[in-house]
Amino acid sequence: MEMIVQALVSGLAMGSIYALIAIGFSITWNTTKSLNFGQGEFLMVGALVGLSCYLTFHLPFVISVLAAVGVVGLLGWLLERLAIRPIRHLVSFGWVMSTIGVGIILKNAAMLVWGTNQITFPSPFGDQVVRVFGAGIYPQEIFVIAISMAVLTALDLFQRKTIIGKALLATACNREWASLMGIDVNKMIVLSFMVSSGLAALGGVIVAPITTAWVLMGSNLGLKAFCAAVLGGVESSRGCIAGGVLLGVTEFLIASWRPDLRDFSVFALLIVILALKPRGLFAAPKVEKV
Amino acid sequence: MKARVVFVVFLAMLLNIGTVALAQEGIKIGVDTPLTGSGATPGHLLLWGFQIAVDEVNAKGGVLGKQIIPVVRDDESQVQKSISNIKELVYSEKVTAMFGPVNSGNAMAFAPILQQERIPFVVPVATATKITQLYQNEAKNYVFRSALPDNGQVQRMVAWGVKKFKKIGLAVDSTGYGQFGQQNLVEELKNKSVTPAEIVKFNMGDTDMTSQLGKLKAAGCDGVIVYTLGPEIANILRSAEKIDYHPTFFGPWTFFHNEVGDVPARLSNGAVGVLSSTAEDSDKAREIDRKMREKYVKEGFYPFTFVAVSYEGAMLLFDAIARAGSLDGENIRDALENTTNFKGVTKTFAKPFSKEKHELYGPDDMFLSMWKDGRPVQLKD
Amino acid sequence: MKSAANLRNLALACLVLALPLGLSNQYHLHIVQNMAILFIVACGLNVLVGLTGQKSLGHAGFYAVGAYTSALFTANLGAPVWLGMAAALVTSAFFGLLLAGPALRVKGPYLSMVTIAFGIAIEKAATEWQDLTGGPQGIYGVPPLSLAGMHLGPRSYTVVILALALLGGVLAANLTRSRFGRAFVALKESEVASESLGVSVYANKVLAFVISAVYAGLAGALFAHQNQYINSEIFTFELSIFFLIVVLFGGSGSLAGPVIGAAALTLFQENLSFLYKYHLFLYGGLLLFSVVVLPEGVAGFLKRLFSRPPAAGVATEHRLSAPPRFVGREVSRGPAPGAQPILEARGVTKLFGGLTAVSGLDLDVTPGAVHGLIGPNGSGKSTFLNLLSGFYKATQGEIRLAGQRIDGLPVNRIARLGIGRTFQHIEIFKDMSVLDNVKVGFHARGGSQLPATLLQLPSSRARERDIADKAHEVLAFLGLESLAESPARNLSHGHQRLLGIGRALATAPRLLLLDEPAAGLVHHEINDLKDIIARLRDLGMAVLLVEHHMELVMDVCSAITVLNYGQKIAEGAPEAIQNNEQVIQAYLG
Repeated sequence: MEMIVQALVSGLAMGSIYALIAIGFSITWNTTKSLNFGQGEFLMVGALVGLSCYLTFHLPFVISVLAAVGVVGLLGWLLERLAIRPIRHLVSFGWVMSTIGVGIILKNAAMLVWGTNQITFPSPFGDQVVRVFGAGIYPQEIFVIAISMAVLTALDLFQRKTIIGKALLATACNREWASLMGIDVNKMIVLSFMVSSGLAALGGVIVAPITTAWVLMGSNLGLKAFCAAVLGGVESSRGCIAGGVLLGVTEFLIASWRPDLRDFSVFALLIVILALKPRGLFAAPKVEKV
Repeated sequence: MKARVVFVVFLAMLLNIGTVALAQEGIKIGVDTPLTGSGATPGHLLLWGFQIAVDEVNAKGGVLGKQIIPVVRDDESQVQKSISNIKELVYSEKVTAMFGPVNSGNAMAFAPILQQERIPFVVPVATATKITQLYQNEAKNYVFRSALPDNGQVQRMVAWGVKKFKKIGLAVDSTGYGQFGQQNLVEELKNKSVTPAEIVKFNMGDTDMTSQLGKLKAAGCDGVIVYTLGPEIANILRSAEKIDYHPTFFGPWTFFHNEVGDVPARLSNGAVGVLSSTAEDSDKAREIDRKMREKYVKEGFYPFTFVAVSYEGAMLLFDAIARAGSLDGENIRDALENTTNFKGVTKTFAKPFSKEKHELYGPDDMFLSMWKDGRPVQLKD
Repeated sequence: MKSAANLRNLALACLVLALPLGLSNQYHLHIVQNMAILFIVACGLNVLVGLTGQKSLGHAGFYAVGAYTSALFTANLGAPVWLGMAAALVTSAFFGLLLAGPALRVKGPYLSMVTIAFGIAIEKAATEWQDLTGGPQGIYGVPPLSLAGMHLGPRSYTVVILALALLGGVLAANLTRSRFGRAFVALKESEVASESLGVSVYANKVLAFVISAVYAGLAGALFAHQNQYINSEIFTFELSIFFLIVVLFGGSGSLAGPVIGAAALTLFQENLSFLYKYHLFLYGGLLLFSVVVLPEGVAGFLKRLFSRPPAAGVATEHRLSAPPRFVGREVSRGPAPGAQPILEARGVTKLFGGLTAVSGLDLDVTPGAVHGLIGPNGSGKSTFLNLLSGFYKATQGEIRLAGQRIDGLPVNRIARLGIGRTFQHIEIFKDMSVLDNVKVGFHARGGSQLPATLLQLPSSRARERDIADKAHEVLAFLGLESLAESPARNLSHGHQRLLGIGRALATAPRLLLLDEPAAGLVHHEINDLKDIIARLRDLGMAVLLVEHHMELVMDVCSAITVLNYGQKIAEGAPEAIQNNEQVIQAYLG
């Protein structure tokens, strides 16, 4: 019984991280039909910047988080300028290569700054275990779940209620029309990349105390988050959230049953689900007009 | 348009650098080690230990009047990269001897080339027992090792463990290291008439081992041998606390990887690992530690043992070259095998190698160390 | 002309094979081998990515399948190497089929995800299923390639691998220039148009997948034998990315691309290994800048640099008086003009959720007649055409072509049964030449089979010549002959519309559906169009013309059906329709 509770809580925590990053994918996909394949590296930089602020410069945790989000948000701006905008007019998928390229460059930069070790990020909530139904849970995990839900709700409200949010949605639906309505499409696109990167950074900083922070932490997390986005339906932000949570919980449940089959099952399952629901579990079906 | 032409020309030039092997006067020693990728941390330790030895020897005038020139290649912990590297080092750079790697799989994959080309080969960090046994039955075995071999480490820890614990459990990773480790452990335990009460497996990169540890706890294991690398050991220590499980964790020298040093002391206290030496054990050890602190690891914990065995491996090699009196591979190999009274970092080895034994460290040369308040302390048993 | 090119190619091939003989350094030979193996992967992946445009981020999976199959057969079962490699080809083809299934139902990021998931699932299976694969410890003692039992020295080994690479390249080149290659590019540009020409998008995508899988599997097997050791840590997601990058950097779609990509990236990895602290910077920078500065890859860039733009052709006003003979032949095989209708639609209804697009429509078209279908926007005209050609499935009703029920059949099948069509939004294959556009129409009729095509047997070449001749006939009929080699994207709007008709004609249809062919045409072009339609009608073809241009409709049609809100409100001869009260109301009210 405790095992299940443990798996659920840890799975929910990890799933929230996936959801945060997956939403980031969804935002840029909707506005530009491209996404940042180096998102994992952005997460990693966020985690390490946050770590440095917290451990080396002894800044309060909240400031460290904001600093991480800010720095990586700027990286998102840089990414759009270097890797997305120059090739926007080209059809096809150059952005796959260019965003991977940026990710690789970031990895090297991070290696030079922070070294190759796995660094322990002490949780600001301490690492004493909390017992719930006999299961051991880190306060950080609870924090992750709480913060992610708060941010995702705020994002949802932002998109639906504020002017900028609506402008973003408009740009996502139809760029030409949004532009005709007076929306600065370029600014919206830049904003979408900055928000997406900021989300990845947030995910990185809050998950690092659980997983340790190091240069290679991003690839696996980024991949799983991409998985989650596709699983839920990359075009729907709610789908991404659902996909993230679903993936996290499933992953941990399988791990508690057969740990060595965890990764294989997750990816095999994904193939099966996509075979049945090609555009994700929660995407609206599309009829193409001929 | 012009920019594109320039770019293509630049690319073409880029592709040609490095193809010219710099001609230098000296003794070239090839070093294959991971400097990026998952093995980067021990990979750097290997390189630094080697470099400290090189600097020391070169400062005294080198070997046979020539300076030692390390030719370093990053194998990124990947097999095909290491094979490429070795081929480059052997056929293009024409190195006199080979040093490295970290990953046992890589060592096993490129050893045949070195054996075939008669290049003496010293392994400072890779631990798979089989590496030095591959060519044991041939007239001349070119593979030597200064690292602590797996079978020796296993013997050492099992000898101690069976006396201390009533029920022993095993936690191993899914890589070659963990799997071979499991085989060695089960066999050695059997030699002492002990069967492990439970064996659990996990993957590299796992952060949550609570389910596996739960099984060990249910089986009542009071001693758990963990056979994996630092980060996963650290995660096991953390996961154990999560389920309120407090056996004694012990295992190989990976128990002294950085990541284990980083966990809170309350989690690591009492964990035991095999070691060759620590930084306080002798004057030489302190000297090497000083150089490490000056140049490479200014602060924070680092596992001294890896630096020490790399240093020792390098010194073995240089000493053998000096005694061989030439750069001929076969002569150096023979000199290595005949090494006597080798001054290691903490002890002197009377005659470490023989035709059957190409390991510097036997189980009796290793000792056990326990984590106490964030530092390894030698265990007197 | 041809033989000079062949001689050049032969000389080049000999040069490539002789290369290793000039090298004595085993490391350099190793690099050449690596290049050749990487080239094989890139070649196959190029077919998938470059031609059909499906990006696969999981090809390390096929590489692994090939490597493990051959390694297990030879190291564990003691089979001879050639048998191991043959087995590798079979298993990778099988896995290609396996992946093609789910992969082909998805597009865009979903396709990426499925391929990524596949690659990683294979990697995890290799890691977990240690009893079979040895997991991360791997399989040792994989024997090297040998020729007829004879051990190969390093140079001969390299020659053998190069020979295989050469063979792979030649086959891929033959494929690219064949009808299969055209079909692949066509489905990348417009799946809709391809299906309407009888090209089964599904079957061709599967074929492309399987081909790329087999190439990757062969390369994987060669890799295993070259290193004599494999383990599960080799076949990572990063490797799949690397393969894709080789193709994209080299230039996808072209034949020189994989060569350049494989050579450049192998050398890049080898030569910069001494810069270990910064080599990721360079690798990442390379990716970034090659995408931004060289979006078509190096090969594409070089092609643009060295090729001259095709001489701008002007379409002649003069047309051959008669439509192509093969079209006439096919039409005459059907029912005679004026007799029974060739198309019978009864009670056809189409609902989209709550919206009724077409309701209870009865319509007949007889051979040798042009039947007009008009109505205000949104009246269901295009929907009806889509129902006829098979893009939509009717909610109710029956559609018969020459007595045979066709509703519910797949689009490409209906096309092959004799319905050809054009599209409102043209949908020509922009990156292909005008001639190739038309050639795609011949895909389903009388092309040679795959093995003959790959080997360029005389029968295959004869068929290809036949296709070329017939395509020229079609272009001549439409007055586009002089534009045959121009890229279709360069055509004027009017010429593009004509090309759409030409493409459909290539399928030798018995019923031709024209969807607003006059949209955007100027006056003299409409006259030409009228002429073309009339000549086709006189040949005995049945034509269903959806149009807004009333003058054209009244001039050329013998019967007109009027739709409004999905229902038929009038039907009859042009004069009657012109004066029909309801019709006038529908258009004005």
